[in-house]
Amino acid sequence: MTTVTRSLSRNRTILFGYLLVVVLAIAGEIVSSGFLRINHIDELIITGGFIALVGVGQTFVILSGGVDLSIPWVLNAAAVFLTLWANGDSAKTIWIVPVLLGGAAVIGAVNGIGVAFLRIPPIIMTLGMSSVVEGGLLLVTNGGSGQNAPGAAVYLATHRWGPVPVLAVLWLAVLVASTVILSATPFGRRLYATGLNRRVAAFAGVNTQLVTVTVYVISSIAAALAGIVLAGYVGQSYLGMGDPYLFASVAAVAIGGTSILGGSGSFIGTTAGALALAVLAALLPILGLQPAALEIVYGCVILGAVALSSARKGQRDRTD
Amino acid sequence: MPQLNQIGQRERLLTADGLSKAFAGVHALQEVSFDVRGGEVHALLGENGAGKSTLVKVISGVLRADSGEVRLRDEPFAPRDPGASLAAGVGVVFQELPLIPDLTVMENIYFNRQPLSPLGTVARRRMRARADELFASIGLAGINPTRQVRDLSVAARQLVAIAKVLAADPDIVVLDEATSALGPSEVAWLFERTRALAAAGKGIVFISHRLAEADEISDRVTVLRNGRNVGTWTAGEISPDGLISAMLGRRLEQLYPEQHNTPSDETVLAVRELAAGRRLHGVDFDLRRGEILGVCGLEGQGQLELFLSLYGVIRSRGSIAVEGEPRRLRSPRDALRAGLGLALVPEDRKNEGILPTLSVRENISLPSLRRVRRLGLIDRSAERQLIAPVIRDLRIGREDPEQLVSDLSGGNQQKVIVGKFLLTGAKILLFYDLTRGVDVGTKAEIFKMMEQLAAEGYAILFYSTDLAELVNVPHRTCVMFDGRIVAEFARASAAQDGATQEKLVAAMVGGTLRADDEARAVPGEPAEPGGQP
Amino acid sequence: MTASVGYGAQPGAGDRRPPVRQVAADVWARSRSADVRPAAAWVLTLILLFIYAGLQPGTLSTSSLGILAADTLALATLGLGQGVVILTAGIDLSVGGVMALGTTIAATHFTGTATTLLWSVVILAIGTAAGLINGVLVGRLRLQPFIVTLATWSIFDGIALYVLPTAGGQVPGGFSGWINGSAAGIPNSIWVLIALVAVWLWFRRTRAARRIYAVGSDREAARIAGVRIVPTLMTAYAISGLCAGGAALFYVMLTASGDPTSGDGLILPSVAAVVIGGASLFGGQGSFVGTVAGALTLTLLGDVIFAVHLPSYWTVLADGLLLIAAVLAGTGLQALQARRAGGGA
Repeated sequence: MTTVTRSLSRNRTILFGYLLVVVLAIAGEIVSSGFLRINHIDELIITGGFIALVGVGQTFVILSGGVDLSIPWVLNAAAVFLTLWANGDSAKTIWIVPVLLGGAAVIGAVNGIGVAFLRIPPIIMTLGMSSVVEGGLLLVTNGGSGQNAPGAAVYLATHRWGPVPVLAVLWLAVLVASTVILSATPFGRRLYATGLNRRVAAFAGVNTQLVTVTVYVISSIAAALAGIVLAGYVGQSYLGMGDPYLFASVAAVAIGGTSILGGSGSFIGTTAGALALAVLAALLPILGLQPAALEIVYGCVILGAVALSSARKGQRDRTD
Repeated sequence: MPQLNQIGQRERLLTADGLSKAFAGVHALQEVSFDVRGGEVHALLGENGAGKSTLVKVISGVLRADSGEVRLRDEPFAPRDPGASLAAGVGVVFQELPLIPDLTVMENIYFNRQPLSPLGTVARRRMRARADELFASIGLAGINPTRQVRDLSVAARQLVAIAKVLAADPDIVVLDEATSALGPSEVAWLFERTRALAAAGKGIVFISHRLAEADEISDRVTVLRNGRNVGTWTAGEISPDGLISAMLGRRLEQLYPEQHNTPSDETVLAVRELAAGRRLHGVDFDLRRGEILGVCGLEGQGQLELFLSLYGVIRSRGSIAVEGEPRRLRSPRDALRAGLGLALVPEDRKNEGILPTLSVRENISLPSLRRVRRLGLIDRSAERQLIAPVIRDLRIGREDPEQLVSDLSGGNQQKVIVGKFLLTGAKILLFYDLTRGVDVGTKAEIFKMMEQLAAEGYAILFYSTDLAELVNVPHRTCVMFDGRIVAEFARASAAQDGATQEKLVAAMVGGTLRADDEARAVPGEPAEPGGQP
Repeated sequence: MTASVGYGAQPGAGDRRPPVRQVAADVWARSRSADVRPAAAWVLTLILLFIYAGLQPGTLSTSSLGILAADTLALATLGLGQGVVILTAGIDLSVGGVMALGTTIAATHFTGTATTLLWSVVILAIGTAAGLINGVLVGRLRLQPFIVTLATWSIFDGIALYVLPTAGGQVPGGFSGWINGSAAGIPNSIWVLIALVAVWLWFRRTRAARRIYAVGSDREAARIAGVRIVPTLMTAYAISGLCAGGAALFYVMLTASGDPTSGDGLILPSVAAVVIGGASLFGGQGSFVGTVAGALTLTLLGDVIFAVHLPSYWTVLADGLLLIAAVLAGTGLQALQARRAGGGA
């Protein structure tokens, strides 16, 4: 095998993901005509974009061989603090947003340091930090519900340039940047190496600790960004708004073909997964299913996606 | 040594007939027939990939053959797994030492057949008694059955693995590389046990890369090559060269390369009182440009810590100077910057120092990405230009940078590891056990590469567990014991008192060389009574 | 002449010693490895108990201890199953979903004595079945435990939401009251804990348990030693599912209601209890004796926080920090022991 055949097989996985999106979208149109009107497609893209944003962060982490379970509460904390501090005043977002992203970076760094230097398994570290952030948030807000989002955030989240939502452009920029970073920069190469075999990478001079910390920082910043924009989209913040994004981020990554073990994957694939999930989420109410069904669907999708990708991987390297 | 007709009259205990096994198009075994007779020690030789381990795995039930059959005495024999195989009388000591680290020695030996109490729980006291009896009967007095395997050294584990098989008193014992971690006195013990088993009518299969050992212990020898049985001879019927030719399918002109160059006088690496961890207590040595310095020692004498400290992987005390400049080596990155490169093959051989799903190009360029970075991105064409000379000079694979490393042979994979460091401007190469478990053909390639590198001015520190290599390849070899260097020998061909395997062994097991050690014919007796490795 | 080989030798190990000293020496040799940490967990528990007793007089009475045990029962039971899965170097996130499902079924179907008994059995069966599914996916399809149980967690949470969309429902008084009763002067809740520990002490010495330890310690070695990996993993996850079902029953006994979100907040504590109790997340080491201590520690932590009038949100924070601290302490201790043992082999 060469790198050429390797990319071909990777592309095939991604193609499957997008095929899934198209199939689901068409199914939606069949069940309920008007599903595919422009306005609705925009909404789907935006919902998918939120999932894709946290999915991108999760992809970075999973590529390094870890996982980030703290995404929901980082997202929630960012949303709550945005609305709390801005109190409706858009001017304040100038300093609020950098502070929030900086705070998220700190949380990500703590995750990364725990995993890279203290050798704490990622599941445990991020699970623990998730509780810490959750507890911290509850303490600060005293369990109260949210405020209204400042105008700037609302504008960003809901404005359109013609038929194209501003958010879609943002998502696209994130996607392009992430893909370039992964496939064309030294960092991306080092990230792949770290995820494939940490010790070999370290012996080759890769600063695996720095790589690890960086990906958790990226993931937390992405989660915070998602929280800020989500608050704008929904118009307010409330406790629990991050909850669906844990399963969603992992499911998107799984559908997109990124290996849970690390070392192989792509953002374009994750985006396909995110879009598929968004369409799915929109389909369910149309089919008359309760929100509880979405949880069941998430679970089945994750299982199906990983089972499928593991079966195909097994076929490819059947040596034993 | 038994005569040919004597062996011919012995009972065939185990017969393999026309076994074939293929994986994804690779024919690991092609119609191999093989038999083991009662009372014999039958050596099985062959390069890596020749099919020895596959044959063993098929016999013991780890793998199912595609065709052919195995018979135990006259009954078809197809055990479900090694446990069933052992129960039926065929015991295998696997290369990979399948012991369970978090269980005790005795739990491992009696695993899944522990004596039970009426409640269905394991009866520990009875198990302990049985273990003590077992160890006494086979002569292993020093291992505590209640220690957790995870706390034992590799050599001790190998002994436990052997004991586990012997405990079931099988009719056939297969020893797959069972001596790889053992010191001379343990090897002597094992050979004594082997002869005792053979004398009792059991059949022993002995697999090893150490041809000298196989030669010493075996009555018959079978060679596998490319999955086929290319011949079976009685011991003494075929010369060592003939064996090697059978293994390789050609005459090996020379295993050890011509020794052309002499090292320069310039010291490239100066180490003083280097100590690290619990096992490295203080070593001093100089390494010169163009020199290959061999390191040998029993397992656990500090040699691993030596290499890891030189490469910055573990923290060390003492001083290291590269080309005259003192250096603090706190991480592999520091070491790379100082001009060192480490190719390390760990005990378990699991991560071989390469990233198999990446290409040759991606593996080799990994430490040198900074050199091909333009505006934050990797310049692909610059990258290709950078690695092309390395691939060409080392003759890696079919010289296609896009080839995935997993497709390369073992020898070529080693070259990829080394190639990485040539690009980083390394002047000092650290080779740790590169030839462990490697077949003769690949070894020859590696030695040729080492000699070539030395001729070009690289300095090489070379640790190996194969004494024959250490006597013939490095310019000089130092022996480590208890965390220090206790002896040094020049290359065998270079001087009258050059290294011999016997001298190396004597120094390995107990320190200083003594005059009467010259007289020892058989490596293995400790230099002092009661001297423990 | 037998060659005497000195590896792993204890001083004088070949000697004949009086049996008592031999046993003591064996205990000491073994205690270096895995038994220190559960003991440390119990020390931690006792410390917290006395702190709490200082804040809340009357804590050390049998009835108060009974209440403590009752509060801990669900978590401890979850920890029992989680501990077995962690022994195999896996993790079971679905215990939250299974437990939630159990409580919702109980709250909607426990109408009288017969139905309570019947549906209790059904709940335990569902838990076991859930575990078997996890086990097949992890064992046969070789999928990562965390992702499989993340998915099944979601699925079971969803089903629980269908059964009972919001917390509520009711159960017969006899069922929920039992936990507060006592027999022979000892509260029933403590009897249950004792029974669970007794079951564990028996189980861990069975060959089945040794196989589970083996799979977690080194899967390949276990396979070659003849362990059937898939059934062993299925057993481990089935035990976890069964325990999750049991935990649901204890939860319902305590709260007399069902809640589809009841499981979510107990997943992290169940892992924390196991880790505090001395288990290794990499498999092969751990004991329920320690897990009980871990569970009690977590409950006591919550009680202490309440007693000093801090908002209950502090518990969430503290649990997260305690989990991380426990893992650190574990790896630190392991490094220390490795360094001590490293010279002697």
